Amino acid sequence: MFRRLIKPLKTEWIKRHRRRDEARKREIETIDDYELSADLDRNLAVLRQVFDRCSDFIVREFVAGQKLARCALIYFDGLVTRTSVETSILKTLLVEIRKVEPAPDITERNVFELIKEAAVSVGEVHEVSGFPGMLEKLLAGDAVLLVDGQAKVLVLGVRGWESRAVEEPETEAVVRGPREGFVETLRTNTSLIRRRIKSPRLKIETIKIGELTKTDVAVIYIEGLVNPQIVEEVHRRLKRIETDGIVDSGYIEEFIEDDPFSPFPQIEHSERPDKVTAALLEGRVVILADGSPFALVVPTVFVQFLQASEDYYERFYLASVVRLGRLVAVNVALLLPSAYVAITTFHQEMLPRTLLISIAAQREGVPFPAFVEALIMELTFEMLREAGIRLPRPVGQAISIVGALVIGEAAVSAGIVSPVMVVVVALTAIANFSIPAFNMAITLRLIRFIMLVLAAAFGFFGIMMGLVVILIHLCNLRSFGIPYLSPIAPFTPRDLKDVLVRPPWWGMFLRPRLIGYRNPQRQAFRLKPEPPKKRN
Amino acid sequence: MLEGGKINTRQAAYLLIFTIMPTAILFVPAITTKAAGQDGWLSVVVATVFGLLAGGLILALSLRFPGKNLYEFVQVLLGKILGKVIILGYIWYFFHAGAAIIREYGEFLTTAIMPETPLMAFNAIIVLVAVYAVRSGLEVLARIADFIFPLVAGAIGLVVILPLKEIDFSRFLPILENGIKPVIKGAIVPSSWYGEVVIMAVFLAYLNQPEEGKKVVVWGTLVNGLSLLVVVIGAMLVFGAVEAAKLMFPMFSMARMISIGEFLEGVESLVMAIWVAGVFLKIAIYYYVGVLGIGYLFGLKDYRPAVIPYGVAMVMLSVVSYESIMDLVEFLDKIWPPYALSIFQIGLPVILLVVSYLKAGKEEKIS
Repeated sequence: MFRRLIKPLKTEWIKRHRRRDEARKREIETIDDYELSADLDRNLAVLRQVFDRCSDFIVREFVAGQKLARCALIYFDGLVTRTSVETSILKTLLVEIRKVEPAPDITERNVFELIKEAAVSVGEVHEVSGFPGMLEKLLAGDAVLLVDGQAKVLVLGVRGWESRAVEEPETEAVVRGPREGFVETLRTNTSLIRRRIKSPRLKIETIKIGELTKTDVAVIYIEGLVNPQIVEEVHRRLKRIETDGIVDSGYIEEFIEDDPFSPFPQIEHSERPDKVTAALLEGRVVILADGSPFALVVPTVFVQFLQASEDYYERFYLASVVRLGRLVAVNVALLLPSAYVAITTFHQEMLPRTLLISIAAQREGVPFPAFVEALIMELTFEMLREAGIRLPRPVGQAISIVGALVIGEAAVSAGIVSPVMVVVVALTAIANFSIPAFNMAITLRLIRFIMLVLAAAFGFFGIMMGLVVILIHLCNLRSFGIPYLSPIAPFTPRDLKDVLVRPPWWGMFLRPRLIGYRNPQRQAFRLKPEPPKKRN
Repeated sequence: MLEGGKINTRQAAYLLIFTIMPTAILFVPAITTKAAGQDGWLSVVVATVFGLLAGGLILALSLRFPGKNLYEFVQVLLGKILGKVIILGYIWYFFHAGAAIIREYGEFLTTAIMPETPLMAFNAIIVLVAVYAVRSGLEVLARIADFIFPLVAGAIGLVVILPLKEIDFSRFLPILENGIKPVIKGAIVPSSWYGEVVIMAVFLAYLNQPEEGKKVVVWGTLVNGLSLLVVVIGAMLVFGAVEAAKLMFPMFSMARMISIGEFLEGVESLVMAIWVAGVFLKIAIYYYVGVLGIGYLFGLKDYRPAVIPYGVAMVMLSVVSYESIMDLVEFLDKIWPPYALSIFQIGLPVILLVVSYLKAGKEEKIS
């Protein structure tokens, strides 16, 4: 019944948005109507009209050689390397071209060939004859040379702009391991990967997304290891995106994930080239967007969020124990406050008698029930954390002092909360910080509040039902066709090796089955190091 | 195709285990021990053998119609109209059993853990959660089973191992004090649990390796038998047969005995929380199979629209059909076994098998 009522409204709504969508597309396409003509002045007039009120648009008109041809070099200031423009283009065309000039059979046509083949000393040079194609290159940072009498232009690759240096990634710091991190320039990032995988099988395909931003997005994989269907699926989903702009790879993540309403992150991101390299070697696909230091890795499964790159560089015993510790941390971060509320409200018998008495004594003056107490403290802490992240650093310190005082001391002595609650909140926060992936940590932060409400209403039963709902949800999730909870559910014994523990490298000779199944073996079978046998 | 998913051999075995075990370990120990005394474990062995036979029956039946589930092959075998009558019968069985399971679980929680919360709250919440699982389909159910099987197995193991210091092996004796008769009597109730293997007539059709159906039934039944045996023996050794028969939920009482180093005490809430996950899956399985039947009965393209009305009705039935927990135990002990065993678990499958053989013979003669 409802559906019948809603349907006309819905179709009307969809129609309206379709119309707007078409209008948007028309607006974007107007620029495609221009064409290059053979008349330099006309081309420049058109360009000046198009780039009206663009102060960084530079046109340098000149005569090449000794009256060889009228030329115009156009580029955007700040997007090109000024030294290359000055020495490799202008200097050669104005001065050095005279050395090759005195050819008697100069016609209009081969002036262009001459400039292209004998004069310009820039590595990347190609001819473009369409106006939109030229604009695209121009806006991406190339310089464009127009020659009078030619309905085509020379695009000269002299891109170069101010960019951050490759430095240690702040979000994924390690004690041991490479300290390089991705930066905002796509080329630099692909070079960081190419430097680690010196194989022609490493493919880097680039597509442009965003009608206005025209962001370069690179799809990177190793041919032969990757499942071609997944690559195809990545391309399909990326091509679907029709938007004005991509500002960060986070945009792409939300456009291409499997379940857009899930609170759980379904695509891993990383700032670390080494982590990305390892993912590529497992047969995953990496998506890099220009302007973002965060690479997306697909397909992603749940356990990846509990793995840090350092696990693979440190001694395997320690890495395994740390990994188990993280599993505990996940549970603590998700459940500790709600378990506290459930125990103090419903299941007091679970506590040893002495502890129970001490908790009861501490709570004596507290006016709130455990649930409200927990909620107050958790919310305070969340606010503190948010304030700490956003504030400028010098002020941030002040905040942490205030926070420590408010949470640690004043609230307790004022009798608003009990000291145990402070311990619980602190432990939860520590556990949350020890989860390596920030996006998974914030998801758990969010769900923690729901669990708190369930615990207050139904005790352990409520917590269990909450967990079961989460479990059903996780069992439903897939990331690019791979079940999110694999290799635990569906249970894949062969892949369990890298889940709870981290075996030594010589023992992990197989790639993950569901992802790198095309070429399962990653290294020789017997690599366990052995000391040389004693001479008899 | 109402269900397009595929499950693997291990998942199917887990589904069989979760179809039987979660409530069996809770109710069976008290009932068998009451009937057979210290020989309750022998009753479990007898019932397990029966379970293997019943499983063989269902296996034979579904092997005659490879790739077809119960609802599909009855229609092939008996024609549309008679087939739909049988489907209706099985829907009723799954519906009724589902309601009884929900009640069992709700009764357990209200009596043992949270006496002040109304039964309706527990029943409604678990069915609400199950709605999500059922709408997600068979593959998701199978993955949930994959995930929680180790947890539930671990919880049972802990409950049986941790009260070790209370165990007195002389409680096994005397064996067969009153002859074989009480043992057989004690085996009847667990048999009705093993008879639930009939649900495999639906699930075996979705195996991705159909030839492994035998493995599913044998392993599933044996694991069930083992867990039940462990709990029955554990309860008897810890409490003694007389005491265990008086307890409502011996397994829960065992969990209550756990005490390690003066600190780890009263973990029964924790153990029971994990058990709730198991029983949730059992409810979801029954729920799913019943709703799938509705889909076949009315020839729906998708079973999902039936999920919520079916669930509401099931909760209602679970609440109104028994007066109290005593009523429920009486029902499980006296009425359910003859009713379920004779009609749905053994009776109808045998008839279907015979008809299919007769029909096959006839077709051969004609050709």
